[in-house]
Amino acid sequence: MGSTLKPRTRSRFRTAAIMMALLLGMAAACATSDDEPAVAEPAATEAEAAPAPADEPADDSDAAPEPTEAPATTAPDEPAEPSGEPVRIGILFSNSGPAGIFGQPTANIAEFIEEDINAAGGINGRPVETFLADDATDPAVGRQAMEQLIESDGVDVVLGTHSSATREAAKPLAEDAGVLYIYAALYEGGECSPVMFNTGEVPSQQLAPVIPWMMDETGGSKWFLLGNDYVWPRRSFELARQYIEAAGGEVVGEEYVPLGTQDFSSVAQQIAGSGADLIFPALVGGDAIAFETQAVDFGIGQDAIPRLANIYEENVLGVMGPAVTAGMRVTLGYFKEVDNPANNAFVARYFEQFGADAPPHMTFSSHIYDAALLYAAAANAAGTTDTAAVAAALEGLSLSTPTGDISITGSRHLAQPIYVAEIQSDGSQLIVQSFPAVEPDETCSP
Amino acid sequence: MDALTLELLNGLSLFATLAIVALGLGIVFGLMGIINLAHGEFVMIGAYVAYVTHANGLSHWLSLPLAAVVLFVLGACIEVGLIRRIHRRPEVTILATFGLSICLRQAVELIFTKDFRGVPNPVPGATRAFGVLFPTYRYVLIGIAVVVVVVTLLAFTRSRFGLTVRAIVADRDLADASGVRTGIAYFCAFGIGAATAGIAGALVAPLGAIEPQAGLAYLPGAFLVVIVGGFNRLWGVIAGALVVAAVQTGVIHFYDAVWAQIAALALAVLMLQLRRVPVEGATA
Amino acid sequence: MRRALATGAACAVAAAVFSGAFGGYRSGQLSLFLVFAALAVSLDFVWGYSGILSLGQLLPFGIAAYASAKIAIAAPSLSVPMLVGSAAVGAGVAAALGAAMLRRRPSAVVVGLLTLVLSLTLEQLAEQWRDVTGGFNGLTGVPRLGTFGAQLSDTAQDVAVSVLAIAAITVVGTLVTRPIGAVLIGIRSNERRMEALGYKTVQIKVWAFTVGGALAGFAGALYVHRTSFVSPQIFGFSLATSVVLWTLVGGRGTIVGPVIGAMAINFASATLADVWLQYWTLATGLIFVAVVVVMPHGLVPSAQRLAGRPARRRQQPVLRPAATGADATSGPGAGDGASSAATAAIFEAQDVHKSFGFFRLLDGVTLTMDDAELRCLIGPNGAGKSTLLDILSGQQGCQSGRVLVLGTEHTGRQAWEFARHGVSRKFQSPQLIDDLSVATNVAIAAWGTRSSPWALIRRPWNTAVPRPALEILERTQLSERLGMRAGDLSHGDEQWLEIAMAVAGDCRLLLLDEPTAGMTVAESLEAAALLRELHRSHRLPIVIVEHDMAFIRAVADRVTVLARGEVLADGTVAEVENDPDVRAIYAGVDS
Repeated sequence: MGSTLKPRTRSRFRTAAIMMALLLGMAAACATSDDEPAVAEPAATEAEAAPAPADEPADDSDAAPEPTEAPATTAPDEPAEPSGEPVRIGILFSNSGPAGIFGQPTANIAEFIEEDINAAGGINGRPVETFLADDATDPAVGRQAMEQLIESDGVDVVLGTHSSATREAAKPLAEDAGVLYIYAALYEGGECSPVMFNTGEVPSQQLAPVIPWMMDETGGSKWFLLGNDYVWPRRSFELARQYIEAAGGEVVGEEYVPLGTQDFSSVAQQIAGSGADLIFPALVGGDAIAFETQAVDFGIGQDAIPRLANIYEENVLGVMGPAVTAGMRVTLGYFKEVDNPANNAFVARYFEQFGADAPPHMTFSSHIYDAALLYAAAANAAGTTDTAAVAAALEGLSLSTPTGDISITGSRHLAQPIYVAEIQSDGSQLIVQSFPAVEPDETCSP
Repeated sequence: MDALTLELLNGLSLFATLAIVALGLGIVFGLMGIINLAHGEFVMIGAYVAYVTHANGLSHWLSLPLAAVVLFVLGACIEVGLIRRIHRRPEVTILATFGLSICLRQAVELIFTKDFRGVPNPVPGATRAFGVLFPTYRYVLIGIAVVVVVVTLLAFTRSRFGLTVRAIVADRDLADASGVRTGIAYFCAFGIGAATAGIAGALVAPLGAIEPQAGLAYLPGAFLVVIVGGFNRLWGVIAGALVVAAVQTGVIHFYDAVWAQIAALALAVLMLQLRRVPVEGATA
Repeated sequence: MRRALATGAACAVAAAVFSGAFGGYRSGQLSLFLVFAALAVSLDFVWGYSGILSLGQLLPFGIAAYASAKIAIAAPSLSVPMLVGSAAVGAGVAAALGAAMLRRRPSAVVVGLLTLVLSLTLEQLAEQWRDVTGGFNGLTGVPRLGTFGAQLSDTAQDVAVSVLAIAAITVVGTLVTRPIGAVLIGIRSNERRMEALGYKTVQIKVWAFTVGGALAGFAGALYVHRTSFVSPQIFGFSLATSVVLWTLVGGRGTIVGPVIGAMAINFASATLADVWLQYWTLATGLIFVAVVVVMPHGLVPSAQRLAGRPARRRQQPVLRPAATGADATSGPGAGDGASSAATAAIFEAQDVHKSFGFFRLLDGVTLTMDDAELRCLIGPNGAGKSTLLDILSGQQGCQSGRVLVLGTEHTGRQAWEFARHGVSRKFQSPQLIDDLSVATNVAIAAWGTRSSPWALIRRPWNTAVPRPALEILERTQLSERLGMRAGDLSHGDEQWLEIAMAVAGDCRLLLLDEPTAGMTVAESLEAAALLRELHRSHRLPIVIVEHDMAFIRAVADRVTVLARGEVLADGTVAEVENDPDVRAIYAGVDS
């Protein structure tokens, strides 16, 4: 048939070839990085400088003699230079996304962790090496980062400072792999797992002693609770309500706004109309700044209604400016203004090493540092990095760090000092009250 | 009564903010058919202009014209460098401007770090009017925003330039053939859209945090306004901002802020479904 | 089809070997990225193939992920059957959304915005509906895949997830090698044209959206078992745009492209983000812009072009003449046309009004063709000629009046209903499916009037085409260029192909809008001869809108003159040419 026409011939295997090339390329890529994981990792390149020739630790002690005190309390008196296969400490933190603003201090403190623990003789004579992984403030990415730390970097312990959502996503990996996971961020409480310790502030610590103190201090009793809409503010307010009522106060309003709220006019009006004489704002980042700067003009600024905040940190307060913030009280487990010799030296060394305008050391980075010291002390005491043994050694462990005296409780949380800072008219933070060794109201027996 | 007055004023200030933030998005979509996903970043950069102005010890008011100029130049460069190559394919512009938004965000982060920044309120305090105390800066914001929005819209609907641009909208090929200079018109329209975003950013800067991610927060609100107000009607920005502000303020007043956001999103879905949109015809 | 299956099988084996060889972290990465690749392919199917820019592929993905998580947590042994269930959930979500959304024929921009806004709304709702979704932290502790009380080990699950993801991708990859693939491309590039060929385009798009949803839903179930948790951010802006990036960079409208895009970008991201976080993010933005501007088709098609290979090499249909027996029912006219013409008018437009704003395009036109004749429609610009053809073929509705075609009331019906009733339409400017070959264009035209999506999957590529269509291809030498991309034809050849397509379907009334535009004088006379022969040998009724009087004299039995939306004159060429009213209108132009 003249009009019957043939199709053109094709290469059948072109697609297959592309796919195979892709897979082979992948295979090649991972072959190289599996061979040399230390070179592929960014933290490792930083660590390159740290595994020190003999004179390196001496340098440190020249620059700042005191900080070695902290690890020295648990390490041998004359530390031998650590040698052998390093103990791998993973740090899961937020370095991008909304919580990324807290990332840099933590990355900086990772250097101190290596320097200080190695200077004190390492862990069981082995040096430590830190591996950083970013969760991008996204639990799905956080889980991938955790996989990388555990399965690719082969870490012995993970120290975490990130959202609860990331913790929930990443925890099963640590449990499956039997890797110790110390979650060091302040959080809502209630975590209990055989591989986990939680060393951040929980609301019961931040609030139980401070709420009655705040009411005494200001004479106020009618609280307005304003928070971002997620689990941590909700849990904080649930507890705050109990402590407020126990102290004879009352909650006159409780409001939640979505993360990323920009206009607080209606909320401000509700507060103004509530008759509140105290505000407890559990707002994070930009939301806190927007609320406070707008609140002043609605006549409900700090001068009219005193604030007790549980997360306002230096960057946020600095942006609000002293005109807005002067007089606010903030309750946290650490401020760089905490006045003890170890901390003063530590903070001086921090700014010396990372520059005067470095993002300041703060509660998140401080808790990561403490968690690393706790781990080192426990692993030294246990004589191994075996998870069960270190976990057993951690329970009841006490330590003195720049933060103050801390100890792991039976509930696998941290009894720790709680500080209240008051913002001064020049914007600086002054510790006006400290509560030593505040016990968390937690129960856990995994 | 006072509470109602205050709620009305709150609604009005929300309306003014939404209108000026959405204005540029509405112009660029209405006139050029371009969905500019980098619009939020224009607003964010406007806020950074206010920050830099403040950091150099200059008056906040100066930052409004400065932001307009900076963003006009930036917008015009983007139009020439990017939009001009792709603007006949609306879905492609969505993708390109999305990529652009990432670039702008990241570039700002590299320059300013991701730390929060802020500028102090140039007119702190409240003013008594209508029997209530209401923040002075919000009165100023409402005033400036309304003036900018109305003047810009008048320029596009009444002036010779506006007519030219609208002629191009009606039929680009015809406009080309009849000697109207389409290139210049598009250049100006995109530049002016960006400039209004810059003014919006500088204007809202004293009311919140300035950070590289802030654009992501501005964009959804602006889109709600444009969707609700209608795609091809410039004055729809005002109607859209009114409706969205009323819904948000109402739901916050009677319920809470979280559901106000959900209500606004639901409104957008509804409007997108109800809005009569032309059938995509032949490619000719 | 066999090639797609072979590719899938090879990839599945390669993935399994890879997982076995590297285990642990790398096999976990591979399985996760393959799940993302499946998600990207689902977007490719609805966007790259079907032209629906969905920024909400996360809706079926996320909802199915939540559903799978709920079921797996409550009853781990149901997790395997729930894989199928999740595809059904995804399909259901997409079908409901597609039916509600696409029926209104929204523009691409509206679809993009709507799906994105819906996705963001769902993110909010998932955070609020704490009892069911676990709120902000989501659902955690989802067990690994398993059944009868046994759970897969970590690596075994990685392999299973990888293989299942590849299998799902392969299914879709196979689908698009079937005739439905070409039809989807047709709808993407020219929906109006496809509808005029008899395709129920809205129905097919909803179907494609549903299939994409099923794949996304299946991927969602794999994802939730792979990562063991799901949180509201699964609906978030970040993942929504990442999927678009993978698809766009890899290459839309190729199944391989999005797979490569998803794998490459995720591997790069996992490796580079740690080292150069800020610069990597900046780089993704730049890649996005660069790909859109410089190589809008994406990596794979651009690489193919660089390698000197044609960008789209698809299965080519073999065209064969329809058997004589089939001619009577599917070919143009034959005896059948005569009998129906004997009982009723070919078409009848009664008092048709159509206005656009204040402008009256048609102002009470009544026009009838009683017998199979070759009628020309002439008139000055704006007389309403094309509008009348539009109304006779259902492209536009009319505000009042009635339209009867081939003995049946068609007022208010859709274009595809006209086409399936035998009305064929050639548009003023050629409306081909540029990306497809000449042969595929003709085949698509032949399939149009009797095609559901399922039939288009099963039917063979090779197709019977009515003789007149083949004759046109032969006479114009297009039959020697059947594999050529239609978009690369000369303007004259495009016109011929258009006409061939118009008679390739179930054509019993042919409407041609300026068929000789762009042809040389010799070509247009040849066209006249060809059309006359078509008309005579198959008794095919033809209506032609034309300006060229030489052509009209050569071809027309009868001429109708339209002016200002009304019928001005009607008669033979000579009668019309001598009509004083017509002469007044064409004063000085002709005669």
